[in-house]
Amino acid sequence: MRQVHIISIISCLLSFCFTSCGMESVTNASMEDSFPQIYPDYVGVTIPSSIAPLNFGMVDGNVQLIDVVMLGAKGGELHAQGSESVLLDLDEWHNLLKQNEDDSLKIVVSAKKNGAWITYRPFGIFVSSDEMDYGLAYRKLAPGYEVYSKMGIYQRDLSSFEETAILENTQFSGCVNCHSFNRGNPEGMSLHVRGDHGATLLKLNGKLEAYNTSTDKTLGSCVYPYWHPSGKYIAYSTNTTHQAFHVKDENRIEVFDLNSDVQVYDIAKNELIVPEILKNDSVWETYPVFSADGRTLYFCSASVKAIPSEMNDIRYNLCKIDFNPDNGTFGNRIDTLICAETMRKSINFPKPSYDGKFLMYSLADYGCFSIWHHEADLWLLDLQSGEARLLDEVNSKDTESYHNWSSNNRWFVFSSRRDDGLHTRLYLSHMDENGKVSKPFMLPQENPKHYYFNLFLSYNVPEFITSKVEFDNVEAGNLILSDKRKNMGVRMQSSK
Amino acid sequence: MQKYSKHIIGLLYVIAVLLFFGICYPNHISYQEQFQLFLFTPNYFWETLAIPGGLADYFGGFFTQVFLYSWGGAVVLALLLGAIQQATWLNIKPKGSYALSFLPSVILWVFFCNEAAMVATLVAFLFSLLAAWCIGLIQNMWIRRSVSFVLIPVLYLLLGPLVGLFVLIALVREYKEMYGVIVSGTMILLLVFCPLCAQYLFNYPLVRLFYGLHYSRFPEIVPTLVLVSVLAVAVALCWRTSKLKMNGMIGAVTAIIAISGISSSADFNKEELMGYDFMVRTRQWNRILLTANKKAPSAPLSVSALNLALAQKGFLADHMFDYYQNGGQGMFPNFVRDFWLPLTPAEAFYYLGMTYVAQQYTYEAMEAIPDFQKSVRCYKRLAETNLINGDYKVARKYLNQLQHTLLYSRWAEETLKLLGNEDAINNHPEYGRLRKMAYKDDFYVSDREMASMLGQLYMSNRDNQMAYDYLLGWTMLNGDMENFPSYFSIGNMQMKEIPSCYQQALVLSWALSHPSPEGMPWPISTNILNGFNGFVQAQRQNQPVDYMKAQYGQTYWYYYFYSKS
Repeated sequence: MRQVHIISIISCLLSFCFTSCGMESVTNASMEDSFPQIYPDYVGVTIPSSIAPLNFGMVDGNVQLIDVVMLGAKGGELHAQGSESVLLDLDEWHNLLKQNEDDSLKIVVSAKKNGAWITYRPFGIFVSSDEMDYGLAYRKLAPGYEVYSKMGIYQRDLSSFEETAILENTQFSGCVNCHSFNRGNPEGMSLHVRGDHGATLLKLNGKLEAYNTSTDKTLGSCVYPYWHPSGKYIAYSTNTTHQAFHVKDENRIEVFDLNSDVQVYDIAKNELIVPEILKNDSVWETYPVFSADGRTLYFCSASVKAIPSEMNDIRYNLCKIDFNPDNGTFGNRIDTLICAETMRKSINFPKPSYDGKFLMYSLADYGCFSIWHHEADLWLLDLQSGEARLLDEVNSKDTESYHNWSSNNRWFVFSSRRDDGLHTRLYLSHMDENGKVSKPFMLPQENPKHYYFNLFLSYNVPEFITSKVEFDNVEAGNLILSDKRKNMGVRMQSSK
Repeated sequence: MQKYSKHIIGLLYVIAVLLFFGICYPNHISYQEQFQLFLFTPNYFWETLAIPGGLADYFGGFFTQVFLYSWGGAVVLALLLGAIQQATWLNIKPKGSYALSFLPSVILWVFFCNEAAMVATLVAFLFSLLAAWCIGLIQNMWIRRSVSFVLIPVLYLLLGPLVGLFVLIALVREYKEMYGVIVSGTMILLLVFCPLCAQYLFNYPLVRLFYGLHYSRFPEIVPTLVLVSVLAVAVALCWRTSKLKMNGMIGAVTAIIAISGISSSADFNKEELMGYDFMVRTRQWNRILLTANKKAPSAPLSVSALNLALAQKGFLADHMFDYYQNGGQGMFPNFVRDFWLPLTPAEAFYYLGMTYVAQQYTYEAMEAIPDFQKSVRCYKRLAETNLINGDYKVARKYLNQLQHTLLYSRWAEETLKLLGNEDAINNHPEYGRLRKMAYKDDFYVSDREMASMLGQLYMSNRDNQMAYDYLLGWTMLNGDMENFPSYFSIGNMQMKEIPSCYQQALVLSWALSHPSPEGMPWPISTNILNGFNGFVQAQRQNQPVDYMKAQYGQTYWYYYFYSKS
């Protein structure tokens, strides 16, 4: 232990010397023809010019010192060194990126190992001029089973490393989940609290209210929110969710519904619109999302199966139904866009792009919760041609699941377990106007190697936000603890 | 002699505390250690310090590490409680009563009879007393006032609301001489202002910021005894006497408070349970059997620990009914959302080879720790289950954290060497065996179908004798005599002699469905057959339960007809 401390102190002193007295020069370096093995893997990625510095370390833990030279194709240079991770200067980084928009950076990495330098084959990073939103809002929690410890909803400024809590469950006994914004606009927010002080918090026009979303005519509380583009409605599912645990499977946990319906909340009338056509006892409906024009509601739907004997046969298809936002009524016909059942697959988490061109979803072997399925991958449906394709550019051998679009549709974020097989991390990827997708990059951290290796929490439900969420968590905490709840009315809608 | 009497009394007090925790209450000590993960890293230090009371929490956690060894923890508690007494005396002498200086410490001793009490409380209490004593050394009124104003928010951040003790002492002791109405009022306002302000800086409810984040493991419980001990300091400050007789009387009252408080607060039933869990954790199987032989356990947790020890020593099939059994609960206590209770069944699942289930129970227990701490015990077990399951990246994360602990770093470093080394793991006496014992096929965990789960586990590897013994034990405990013969028949028929408990169950199952023992397909010993005939005869004679218990209390038949609920 003492040895570890002495090494830490010596490392700190060495770092101090390097930063204050200048950097060690890379001399007599042997040339390596392969790209450097860096963590996170930023080789060949596309990034926005506003992104926080892509600090990185070497995968090889025996590297003593890393030297990085970044050369902009349009000019500019950045030179940095570090031991565990290379920490780039925030302002210099942003200047370099701004200078090289729509062009590339050439990254030359050298590593000192056993006293000798190795210089690797340079790699490129493309700087896109497509803007990325201000930040992300996500939940961080331990990837546990049924019991939860400390968790919270956090927001992260994507141009820096600043992360702040929106709401943490240290303020009350319970859990927080399913936060949602209208196309990233933090003015409107829906957020669920579960446990003794359960509620759905709705922030509308700066005012926060706590709702009891359970009614005697619906299955239970509202789950999985999605805002209508007009801001007048929020689609929710209502689910009777349970979990089962594997005795020998890397997926560990199976989350399933014993019942589920889809409903839409009319904000002005404080009513849940429940269409009979979506309240079918022989079908489970979940994950409702509105189309870009707000005239269609997409959702996932599966035939009811026996639990647990037919658990592995539960397969959700992608369906849609017309929705008239003028009067809050549904159409009389449900169309199946993708019959995943015929592929012996299951569709989860449909997310249409806000320009109406694409719909991204995750595809797993079965079930309604691909987050725990290591085989789950992201797919992209072209809504104009009806063609769906596997997003090979971003998928890995491990879980890819929850995803969301930036407000300008040029970026998307998704969660993946590829880092260590258990803890989900966030990845960002670029998509151009033709649907060409770039290699994803891991959410940057100041010292990513240290941060991610010591982080025992998973990122969950990432959502882009266009500006900082102004949220009075003291008021929210008091509201939650007060148990003062506003009830919702129900408007049943006949299918005739 | 009189010159040293105070020191001698103080020393005797420390020894009394030491002996109480070391001899009477050792398992409450070791219990504490498992519900924290104290790391020697700068991040851990700053993260702990970043919330009100963080410094006290940090030192509390630091000391709690040695609680793994009960005498180590007893020494820490004795020294801290002794130091609190001495620091109280520093603040009330020379006019105060020496005997009364023991009262706050005694109340905190009573407080520590509850397992929810955190060492951070003692640290905060002691530092507040020392801060109050130090401020008393400043003679200049304006300097003292200024320092007091600065110290209130600083101590609130470092020690939590026990800074109130500092304010209380300062004001009670020298209200007139040093502070006066306006300054005193301002100090009290500042004291109240600290948690009010903190609610905007830290994500905790106001009420918790008032009564402290680190004094009790349960956030919803107000640590009343801590408040009482603060008031006891106020009493000690106000009660000014140096008369020997009066001191003697106060001493006697304090001793009565100590004895009655400790005897009413100490939970020796829980102490016994904690003892069983600790022995399971540290694999002291023989000690469990010796303990059970002295006094048979009766709670689900302790009985399940005993059954695990019997299985580990290969005695379960012959001797499980030598002890009190309380149904299936005594083998696998029901899962509850608790931070401690699932850990003993998790151990049983682990040794059986159900590593995924052990992992689930362990993880759930850790996540249920009420003050959001992580558990060094759970981290160790999670590193092991992930290693056995081949999830090396996850195992490495746990081991990497354990490398930064005081007592587990060596183990972590040794275990790290195994990661990815399939041969080393497969040949490891424990991990290799558990890998071989694991399920071959996947299905869903169901505690309502435990027999099926155990049966499938045994069928996955017929060398898993523990799974077989647990299957038959579970079946017997649940009185399922219909299925017992068929479960028995899946076992290894090469055994020289059928274990006595199984023979008893086989005879019973036969008797329940056949009119005579003729045709019974198993080699049952004459002793067992005679015993069963005697049992049946005694039943027909309507012998009283006491008689049956005396004659047959250690048989499965007695359990089946009289104990099984």
